[in-house]
Amino acid sequence: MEFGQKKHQPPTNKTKILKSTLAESVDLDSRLEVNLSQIKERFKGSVDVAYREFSLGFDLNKKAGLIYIDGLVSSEITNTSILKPLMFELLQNEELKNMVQGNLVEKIKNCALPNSSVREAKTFQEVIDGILFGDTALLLDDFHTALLIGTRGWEARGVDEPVTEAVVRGPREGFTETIGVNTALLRRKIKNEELRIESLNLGRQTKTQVYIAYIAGIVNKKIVTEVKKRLQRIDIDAILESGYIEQLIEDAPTSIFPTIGNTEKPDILAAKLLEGRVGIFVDGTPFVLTVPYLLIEGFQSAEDYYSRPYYSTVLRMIRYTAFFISVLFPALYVALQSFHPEMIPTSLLISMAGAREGVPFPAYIEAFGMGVAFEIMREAGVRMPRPIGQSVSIVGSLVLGQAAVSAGIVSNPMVIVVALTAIAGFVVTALTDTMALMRLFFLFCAASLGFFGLLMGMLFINIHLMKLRSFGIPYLYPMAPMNFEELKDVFIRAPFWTRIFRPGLLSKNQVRGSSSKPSPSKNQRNEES
Amino acid sequence: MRFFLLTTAIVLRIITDLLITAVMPETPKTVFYLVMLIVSAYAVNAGLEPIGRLSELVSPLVVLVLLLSLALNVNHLKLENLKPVFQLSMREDLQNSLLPGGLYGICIIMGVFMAYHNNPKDTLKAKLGGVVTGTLLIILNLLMVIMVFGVNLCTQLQFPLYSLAQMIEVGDFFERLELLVMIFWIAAGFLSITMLYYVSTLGFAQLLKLPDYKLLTPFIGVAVFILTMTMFRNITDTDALFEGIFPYLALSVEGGLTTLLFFVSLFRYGKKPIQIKKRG
Amino acid sequence: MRGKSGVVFLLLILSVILLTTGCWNRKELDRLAIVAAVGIDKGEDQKITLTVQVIKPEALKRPSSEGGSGKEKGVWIIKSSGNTIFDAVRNFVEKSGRKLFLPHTMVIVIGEKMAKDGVIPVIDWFLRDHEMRLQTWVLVAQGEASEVIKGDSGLEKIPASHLERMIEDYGALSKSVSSNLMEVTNMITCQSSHPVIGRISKNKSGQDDEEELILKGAGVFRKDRLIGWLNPFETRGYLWIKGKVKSGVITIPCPEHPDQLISLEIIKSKTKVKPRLEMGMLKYTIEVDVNSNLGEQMCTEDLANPEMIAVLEDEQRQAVEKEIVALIRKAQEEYKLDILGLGEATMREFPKEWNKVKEQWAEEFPQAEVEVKVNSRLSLTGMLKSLKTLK
Repeated sequence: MEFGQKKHQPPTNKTKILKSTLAESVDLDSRLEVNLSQIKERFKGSVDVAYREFSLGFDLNKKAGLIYIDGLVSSEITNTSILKPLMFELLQNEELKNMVQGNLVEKIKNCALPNSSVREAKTFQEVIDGILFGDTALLLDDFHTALLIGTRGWEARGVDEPVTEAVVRGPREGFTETIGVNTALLRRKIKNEELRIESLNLGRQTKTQVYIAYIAGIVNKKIVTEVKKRLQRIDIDAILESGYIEQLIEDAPTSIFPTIGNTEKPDILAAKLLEGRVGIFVDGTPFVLTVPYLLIEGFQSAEDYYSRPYYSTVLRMIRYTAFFISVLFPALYVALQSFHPEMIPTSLLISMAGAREGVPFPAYIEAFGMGVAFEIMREAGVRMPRPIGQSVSIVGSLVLGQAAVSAGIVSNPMVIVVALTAIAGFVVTALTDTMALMRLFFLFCAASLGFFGLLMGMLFINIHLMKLRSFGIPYLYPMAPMNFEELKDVFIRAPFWTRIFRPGLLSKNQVRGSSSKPSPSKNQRNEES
Repeated sequence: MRFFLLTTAIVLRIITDLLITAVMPETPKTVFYLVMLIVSAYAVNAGLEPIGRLSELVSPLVVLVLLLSLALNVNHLKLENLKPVFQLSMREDLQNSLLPGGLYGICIIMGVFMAYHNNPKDTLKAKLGGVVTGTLLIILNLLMVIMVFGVNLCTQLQFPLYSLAQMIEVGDFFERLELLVMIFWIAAGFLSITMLYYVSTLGFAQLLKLPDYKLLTPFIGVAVFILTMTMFRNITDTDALFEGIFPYLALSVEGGLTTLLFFVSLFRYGKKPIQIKKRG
Repeated sequence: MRGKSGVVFLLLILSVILLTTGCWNRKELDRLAIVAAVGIDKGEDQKITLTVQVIKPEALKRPSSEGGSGKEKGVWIIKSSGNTIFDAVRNFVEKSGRKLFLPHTMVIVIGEKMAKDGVIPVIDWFLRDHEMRLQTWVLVAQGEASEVIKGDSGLEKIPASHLERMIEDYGALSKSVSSNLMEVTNMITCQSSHPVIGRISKNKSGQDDEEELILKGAGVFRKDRLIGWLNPFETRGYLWIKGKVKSGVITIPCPEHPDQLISLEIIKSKTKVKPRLEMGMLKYTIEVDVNSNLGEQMCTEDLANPEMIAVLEDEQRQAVEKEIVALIRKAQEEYKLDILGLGEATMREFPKEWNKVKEQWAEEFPQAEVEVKVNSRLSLTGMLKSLKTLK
């Protein structure tokens, strides 16, 4: 269960610090001044590190020092749970005053600090790491031990509705940038002691906290071991977002398909953990990674399960359709009109030919150019502040498109094709990037060899997908290898009462529940009639 | 093995001929060979599992499209075209069935796969199932082609099934679906090429006692490519091969040689129950 | 891994090749001359002349706000000739500047001279060409095919689609034959059958000297050569035998006022050609089931009672029989040609006997004994019972 290199076990498994290569662990000195100056030396030049020297309440000669980082620490907590008890309550409380004559550090820790998290630290490195993580270090004169007091309290964004995964029905809370809040949000969904959250720190410079979450009774142990192995292999100076980790542990770094998923919503994460997946929290980002990631997850949405199954099924079909439209439509259009015009129904062909009359580019260049133009507009719209973004899209889509068509540079059907493709591309949000690349690839195939090229491209992508695995699970599971029980959640969304089992390849604990098909109970029926 | 190599080349040739005649007459054949072989090589190096899964995905689609193309032609059916039956003597019938027999012989590659199967006992069932389904489909196809075109026309068409697809008409709007149908045939053909390619590569690798067959893939690919390019002068040669030599060659290799090997192995190993590894 | 990088490398090379040279079959829509109809004629010097209707997409565009002239013709008609059909088709490039694009051809019209000299070249070329569809309609023109192709349509912007509609709706009248490329080929290649192809002609209509296209009657071919025509009456006889009558009007005299007429609308028909062996002689029965509705009556008798219906059914039977017999007579006596499909029927039912007679079937056929049996039925009388109160 425990992993990572660590000399002293803290009372909770919250912070485990990987051995740092920056400085050797030097034990603390017994003199306060030495310790303070040492630490000041290490933090030289940083103005946000605050030092506070004071005397313990019962003895003016008994010096103590507090070190913390401004802004990471809630001054209210520092004042009420450290300074106030140490300066005033020790003075007033005679009993305490007598007690603290023995092992002062032990006594203060046990009796004088009304704070839930107090740890002892013996080395400078531990103290400094603690300070960097937002704890307050209490150094006492004549002692080799420092106390790290949990005073973390920085300004953070509250729990908000995530922008990327908006829902109509379902919980609106999303993860935040604070890892502790995120795990709490998850705990609130799964109140089971089997939910394990393990921790490690990654990044030489950033020392980012990374938690691995899984449900012990459900998850396939091999996957957890594999995740840990891969995480420990990471050696990088900074982890600023979960994307860093994603790219460093994925199965197929050369593939355009993502083999690691991410979500911003606790309910989705909970559902994935309950299917036997493993979640990876990274401090500082609301995006939590989930592994293994399968292709079909891109087509499943949380709302499918919150609303009744029939329309959900229709929506799924629509998502698959949108996927194929988005990936294949420009390619099909180019293949049809440049290679196989005989396949187009006559009346349609005539109007297409009429629209193309006078367009200077061959169809594939037209398609490619329009695709690029669209990507530019999208990128511009995303990065701009929202009000400007809107005007960008208006200028881009309406003015530019209209002008291009009436100037005869682009044909009307092509605008329709590209627009439909673009909109369809947003339906399957998880795969939007992949789809853009695939679109380009297929466009190339179709432009060089028509339908034949398209077919070969599709076979190529298919073989690639068949080869792909995410943490040992075939990427196309449960479509290939086929598993009929689990196909109930692929093309359709079968009602809960038909789905008794968890995904078999992901989890060992198979039975999920055994609710039978709901019906009014017999008594009630009799009453009514 | 060499037989598989030859068959790979032949299948590749047939598919490309169909493509070129029916769809893209101006594109050089080499391009098709190259593209197909490269994608196929990718599949071969991906290993047996992806190939198997690919066929799991593609073959139902192919069968579905085939059935659909037949079903959509129902309005063109003329039952009486089937009559008269058994016009020819028994001998002629047998002779005519040699070719399909030869092509079915390709199924023995399943024997090669048997060694790689999780539970080899099931393979026989799967094999039989495959052969039976294939036969049924071919018979159905023949019946449909004859019923739609009549015996006279369909013997004169180069690719009757393609013409059959040409006849499809759905509600006045979707008419020229033949390409779509053909795309699926090419997919099916691609699968068989890949499998044959895989088997020949594997076979040669075993012959040369190579640890990893993947090293051989490019060489076999080049060999197939050259064979395909030089094998026939034109399409009539292909027809001649199919009507003349191929069935005998195929049947003798598939039937004769395998049986011979079987008996030889029986003889050599006595009557101990042994696992027979078939080789072409 | 090495194999993989090799494949990637190959793909890279391939993509370079494809990008630099790859436009073998690429055709842009604005470089194609989309053909709607083809007319094939043979000139006096045995040269083949093709007349085609090429669609002008520009003219067919939805008229924009700037007011494109709606009167502009949707097609362009050009001619080209050559020693063979292929030659002629390629020669179009001299004139059109674009390559002819044939898959969307709706109708092939064969000129009379060409038809009389044999249509094999036409069939062969269109079947061999990969772009053609087997379901293209085939018509034979009385006179020059080019005249038909040049003909205008009052309704459609593309005259060819006017022709296509005419052929597709032939069933409302059942006075001409619709046959597509496949059917024609089948009839030519079949041992005993001979094609009958719908006839199109250009007539001057009475008043303002405007010419109009008429699809009426059919041309009879001995194998691939046109040998004569069937009039509309006989054509329907032919359609009865082939079981191809879909609808149409049968006019019969009123039972009590023979100078006034009754129209019956054919609803359903079914035909069976049954050969049988009697004392070693082949005999044939053509059995036709006709089902029709009362469509119109000019007289005021009350026909809506079982007795009268029976009388009408009998008259209908006679009318249909007359048409069929006329056709049989024409086939047996004038053309001496088995367009009825009797040979085929024999082959299917009695293959052994057929093998004996097939060599001299041309002589046997005119002597064959054919019995016509019509089962006539009248089912509905429309929204009206009768207008007898007018008396």
